[in-house]
Amino acid sequence: MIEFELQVSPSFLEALLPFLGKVFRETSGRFAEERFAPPDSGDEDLDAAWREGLIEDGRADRLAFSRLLGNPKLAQGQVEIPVDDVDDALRGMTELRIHLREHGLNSVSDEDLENGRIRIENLPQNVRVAYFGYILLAEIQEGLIREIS
Amino acid sequence: MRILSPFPLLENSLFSITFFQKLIISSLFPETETLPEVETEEQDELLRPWKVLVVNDPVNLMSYVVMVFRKVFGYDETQATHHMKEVHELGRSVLWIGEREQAEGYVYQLHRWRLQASLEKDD
Repeated sequence: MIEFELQVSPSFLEALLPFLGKVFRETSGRFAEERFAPPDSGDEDLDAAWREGLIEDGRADRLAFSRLLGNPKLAQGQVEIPVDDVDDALRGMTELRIHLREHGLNSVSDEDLENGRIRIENLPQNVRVAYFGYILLAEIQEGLIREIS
Repeated sequence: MRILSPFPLLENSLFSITFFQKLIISSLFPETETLPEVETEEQDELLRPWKVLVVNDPVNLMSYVVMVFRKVFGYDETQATHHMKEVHELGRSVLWIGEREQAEGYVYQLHRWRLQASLEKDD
């Protein structure tokens, strides 16, 4: 089991976790399959196996991430996850971050997002929440990567 | 289809041999059989080197990309970091070069980790 503490205030988490849960439920279970097309091979069987594989693997990723998100300890700032779930949960979080980037944060430039040069006070409320959710997921990912290294 | 006939004189004669005659010749002399050109082209395509490319994306963390390169390609920290920096600074990096089938396997794994990866012929 991997456990670590997030350096985030519980009131922040209280507001963000329901938001992340809502966005997660809105995302498609076919995210990877829709986004990552197989290389052009002219082989229909390969294409089908590729797409089905991504759907199946994506399902495992979403399940692991939903277990992490549904763990009541997370609301207290405690990340607790079985070692076997880590890779899947990391991928599930990446999926959600890409979704947030393209939907809630589509008004923010790549450069600003990457450099963290964002004036929070200038952002509309909904973009601000998406940004904090995006940062929180990154924080959890960083922690998990650090723990498994 | 090019058939190496054991009867070159016949081939060069004014009497061109028919497809049927060629079929008989090739069945009598199996060593004269050759693969259809289409098939050999496909085999050439599979055997020629292919590049596995990863392009930059604004979402994934540097530590995440390094971790994925280590897991997928078995790179050490230094190699993985070198490729991550290439992706970040130059917009793309060639992660691996080799046979198409194996390259496809790598691209699949990278897609599974939600990285923008593709295959390109190594010219």
